Amino acid sequence: MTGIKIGFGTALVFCVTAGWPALAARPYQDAPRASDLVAVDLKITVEGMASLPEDSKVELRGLDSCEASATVPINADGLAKFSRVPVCKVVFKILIPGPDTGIVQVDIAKYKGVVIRIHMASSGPANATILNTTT
Amino acid sequence: MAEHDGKPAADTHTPRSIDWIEILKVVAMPLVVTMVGLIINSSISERQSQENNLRLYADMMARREQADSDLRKDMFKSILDKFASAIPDRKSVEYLDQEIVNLELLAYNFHESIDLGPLFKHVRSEIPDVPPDGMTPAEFKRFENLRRRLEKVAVEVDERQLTLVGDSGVVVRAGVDGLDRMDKAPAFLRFIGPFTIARKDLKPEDSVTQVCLSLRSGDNEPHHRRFKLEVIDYDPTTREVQIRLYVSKKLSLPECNSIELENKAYQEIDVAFWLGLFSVPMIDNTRLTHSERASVSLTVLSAERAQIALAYFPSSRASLKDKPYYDELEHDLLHKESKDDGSKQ
Repeated sequence: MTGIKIGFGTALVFCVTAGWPALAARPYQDAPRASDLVAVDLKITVEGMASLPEDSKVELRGLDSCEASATVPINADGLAKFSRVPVCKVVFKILIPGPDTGIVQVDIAKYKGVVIRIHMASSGPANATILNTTT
Repeated sequence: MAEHDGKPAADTHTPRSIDWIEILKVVAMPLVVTMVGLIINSSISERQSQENNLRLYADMMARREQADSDLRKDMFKSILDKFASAIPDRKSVEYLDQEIVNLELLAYNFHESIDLGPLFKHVRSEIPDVPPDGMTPAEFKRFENLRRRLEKVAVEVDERQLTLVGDSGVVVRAGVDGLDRMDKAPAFLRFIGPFTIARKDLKPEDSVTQVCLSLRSGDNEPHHRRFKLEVIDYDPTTREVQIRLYVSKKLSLPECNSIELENKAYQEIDVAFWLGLFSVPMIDNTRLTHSERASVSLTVLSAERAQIALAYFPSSRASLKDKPYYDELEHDLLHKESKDDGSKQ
């Protein structure tokens, strides 16, 4: 009788112990885990522009299998922030009224926790470059 | 003798003259009245006849229009019902072929009235991009042919509408290259022709993205505007490109043609949007001031290259579903009135 009681208790503890992580993990299985999403800060400068005009914005798109898409405004100081970006390769499209569109490809994994500094020439092709060195 | 001879002669002539005058007096009035009456009568009957003819013509036209409208309504309804009706084997080649025929009928008959883009996209989404399990390459080729046919219909409608808007506006085309290398830089885009705005030291690898286009608008004055077009992204799955379109306000011709023009200072619109083969200029266009429209259409698309048509046209050439805003109408009317007053003075 005692043996049965111990067995049931053991089984219960085992089930709870074994099942808990799976139950806890279930809500995160379909979407990227919160730890996989990082905040990305950008600092954008444009040749010949002390401050950036209103309506400046930056669009983000994930590359390959990375599902990401977002648009944020750029303030007059050239600062923009994406609050939840998956750690993968992305493309930033920088749309500033006046100059050509700047396009840069960034591997977010290499810029975790740092402000990505992008400089744009006022005209010409491939006019956006990243100034940071990768981490 | 002379006096004697003259007097009776005068006496004999005068009564005869008086008679004639009297007769004329008596006859003239009724004659004139009769003639005037006849002329008025003839004029009225002629006008009535003209009005009757006009009424008959208008009536016939209205009936014809009504019959045409009823026919189109029935046709539209029956074709649209077919899209909504459920068919068990939805993605078979035969079913898709029938859907494309229906879409062709709709597109060629109603492309000016309704936005068929959603239907095109719906049919396109039903055509598989990769061979389903167990399908031979020969069978899959039939699906590919359907996709090509669908895109051909869209491009034909596009070209018809470009011809229509080009009649009273202007259409310019640009070749786009490097769609497969868009993750690092905007695609190479080059307008060719007299409208282009380019630096003197232009190299073969440089894009030419700006043009100065002119339109004789409702006020009969030429309107010159600067346009700038960039292809900033490409989605091979949906076969759409992302376009950035800049349009300036109304400019003088030297300003419009100047490479030094500061675009930001004269900006009217600067928008980015996704564009596929199923967008047509009369429906998918951007409203500009002075009752004008600008549109961008994709007329050719392959994995690496595309061709884009930029149209600048008056709003009167937009689709039948496009209604002018009240402020646009007010502006046009006031502008026309002030112009008429000016010309009178």
